[in-house]
Amino acid sequence: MKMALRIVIRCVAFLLVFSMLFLGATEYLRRADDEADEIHAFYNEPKNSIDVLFMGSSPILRGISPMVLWNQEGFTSYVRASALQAPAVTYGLLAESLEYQKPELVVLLCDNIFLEFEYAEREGDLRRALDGMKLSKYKLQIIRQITAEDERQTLLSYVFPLLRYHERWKELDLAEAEPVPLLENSFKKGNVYLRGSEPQAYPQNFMAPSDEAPPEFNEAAKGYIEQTIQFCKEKDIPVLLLHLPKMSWSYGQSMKLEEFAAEMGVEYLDCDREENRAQLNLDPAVDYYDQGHMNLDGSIKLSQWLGTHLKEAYGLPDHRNEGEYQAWHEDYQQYAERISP
Amino acid sequence: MAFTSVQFVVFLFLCATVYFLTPKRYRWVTLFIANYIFYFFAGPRYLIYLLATTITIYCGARQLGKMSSKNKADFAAVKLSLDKEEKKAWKANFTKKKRAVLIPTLLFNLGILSVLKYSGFVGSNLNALFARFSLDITMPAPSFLLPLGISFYTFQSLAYLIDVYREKFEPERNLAKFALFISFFPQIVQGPIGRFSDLAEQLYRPNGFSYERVKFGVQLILWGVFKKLVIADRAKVIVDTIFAYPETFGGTYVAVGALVYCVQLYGDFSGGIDIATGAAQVLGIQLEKNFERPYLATSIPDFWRRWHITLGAWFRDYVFYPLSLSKFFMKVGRKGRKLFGNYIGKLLPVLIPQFIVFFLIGIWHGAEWKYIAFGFYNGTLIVLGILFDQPLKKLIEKCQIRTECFSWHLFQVLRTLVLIALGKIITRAPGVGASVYMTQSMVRNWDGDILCNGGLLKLGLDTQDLWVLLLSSLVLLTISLLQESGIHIREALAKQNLLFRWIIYLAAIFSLILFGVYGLNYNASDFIYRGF
Repeated sequence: MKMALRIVIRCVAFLLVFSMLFLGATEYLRRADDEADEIHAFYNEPKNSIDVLFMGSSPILRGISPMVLWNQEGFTSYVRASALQAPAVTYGLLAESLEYQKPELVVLLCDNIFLEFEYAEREGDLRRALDGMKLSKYKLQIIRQITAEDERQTLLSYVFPLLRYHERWKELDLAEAEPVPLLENSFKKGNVYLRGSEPQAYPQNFMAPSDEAPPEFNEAAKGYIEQTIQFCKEKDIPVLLLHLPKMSWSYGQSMKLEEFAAEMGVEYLDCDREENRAQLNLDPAVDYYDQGHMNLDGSIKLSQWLGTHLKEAYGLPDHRNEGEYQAWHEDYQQYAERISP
Repeated sequence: MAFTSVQFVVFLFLCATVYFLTPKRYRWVTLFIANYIFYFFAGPRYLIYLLATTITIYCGARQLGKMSSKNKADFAAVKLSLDKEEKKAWKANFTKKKRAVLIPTLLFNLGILSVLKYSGFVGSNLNALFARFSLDITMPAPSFLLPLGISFYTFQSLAYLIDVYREKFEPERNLAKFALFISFFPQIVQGPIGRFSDLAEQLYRPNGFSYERVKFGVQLILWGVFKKLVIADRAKVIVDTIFAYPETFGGTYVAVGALVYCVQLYGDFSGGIDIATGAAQVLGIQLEKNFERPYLATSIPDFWRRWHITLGAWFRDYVFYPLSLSKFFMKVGRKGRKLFGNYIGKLLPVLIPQFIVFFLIGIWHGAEWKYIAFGFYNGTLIVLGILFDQPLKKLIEKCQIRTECFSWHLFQVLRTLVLIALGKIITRAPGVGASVYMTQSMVRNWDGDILCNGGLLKLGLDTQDLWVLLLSSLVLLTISLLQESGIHIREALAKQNLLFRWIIYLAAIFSLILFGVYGLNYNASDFIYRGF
């Protein structure tokens, strides 16, 4: 018995040492990534302190600044988005987010409803989102979806990212290597802005009504978006389907999404509709990073306009004078300092 | 379920847990069920072949056992009344009856193996031959997916049947127990080919849990995974590049390819065997040794005594001796003495069966001409070695070359390694013609500069990977040298202080995690011998 106990203690101690070294090695070899960091920093937000959750892919990640919304309107928000986010990831990420927060509104960017997501070719995009997520049943659901679509990928490599990044020792200068833990607290609240700009011009007949048939929805993506909306409804959380400005958008797509939103019983807001464009007053020559993304200036303009709309339409609260939200003022200060040229 | 997969680790863990928790009387049943679950994962449709072999060999052996028992009783009853000639006739008659059971059973099982493995090869070659002589005949040349471990379990069960025929032991009465012997999951994939006399008792007895033994088993598994993932699969990148483009990578690259292929094949095969042996050890079962540091061999026969030992032993016991000691080869020896003199005539009953054995070893590896050529190459080396053994010894004596020293030993090892590496070119090149071309290119276009001028970086590995391959191969060599000098690594490690042991364990585990060739950047590669 004494011997058995000694063996058990030794095994447990060995596993502990191994785990510590494994975690340490993971932090050294992890591929540092803003998006994964921002997704992870969400967990540090006080429970039920977020009023609006923004979900979706890169346009919302780059284009919405929760700090601008806070400073202007006083409601709190967080962007849980990543580049070319698969609808399965959006669904899982939202479901997981709602375990931590009970927002007044979920804003869903769902332009990807028209796209077929190639899991086998989008490993990098998938990892950006999943590397930041804690292990949960939702994360496992997403991993199952990925491994079902791409047999080269494994559950273990998502649960233990070291098994994916194990070769990065080749890229590191071992003398100067430092651990890169995931971000714990973010002053950007999920927004990963882009500096620089690429002058854009609206294509001819941009958003002009036409008889041309719009592209079809991707059925898999549509299914996940329906599930996401349904999930919010079950939680009694209103959903706003949002389209953010981009040059490759059409009137047909906009109308089709509007119909879909109506079918689902949710509001649809299209920033490329003429009336909204007029209010937004974006300058394509300076406010775009590229064809499909706002740069920092564009994101500020966009957030200011959207903040007003959301505040009015959804009666969002103003926490700016509440003691519990003082950290948001400090975060805004940091944000303001960072974005100043 | 690959040996290096997480599924296998989980399977082994569950199997061991259930095994040790099962009441002692039924532990063998747990193993039996585990074997069939394992085999089921490899492909349920292949179970039919395993079952066919199991049932036919079981029935054949049982029949032979019954015949032997009856014969013993009958013979004992009449023994005193028979004279010498009558006893001889009795024995001959009984042998004839036994052969009537043995031969159809052997042929049936060898038939399954032959049809699945060789029918495509035979068919396509016959078609080529018919076409050459403008004959309008077309033979079917089917291509079958080989059931997991068919070459291994067929040989294991044939050995059992022949041993029962030879009355070495009584046949197993319990079909499930016999099925357990044929299908033991760690060894069914790529050996070692077990013998009933060594393995059965270990499988059927209720092995208890032993921390030390499990620890040693896990250590051996880790070492096997290291050899496979860190060494063999990294070496594979170089080997695949060189042998896929023989026209681009000629000259010195061929030598590099051959040498690295030696490392790859050894890491791959012996790594797989270490995992199998370690897994069996966890369950309290000691498998037979299949490797004994083959690249430290001093001659080709010595190499074959150290490489795939259980296959060599199988051919020795069930092909070589029966042939060499057969009446036919005795006659050949006698005639040979008349024709070629005493020296060669005496050797003929050894030389010809040796040649046949290596031809069979060649085709055992696969249904391709290159494997037949490989068999001939080794057979020729062995035969020449035997023929020139005495003359060479005399020459060495005359030249006053010291043979009891390190330098001579090193020379022998390197000479053997070169011959082995040349043989590897035959099996790894796309075909016999390609291997001849590559060997010629190695001799004609030798350019040692590629070893220093970055030429090695064209082979698919970067500098860091080349360093990892070199250092890990040195670790393998060091361990081999230590073992060769009689040191038992695991036992020696167990005697060290805890801190030192843990440092070694953790270094081993993390070297696997960090330097292992796995993940999306690599195509998962299967064990080479799993394909045989």
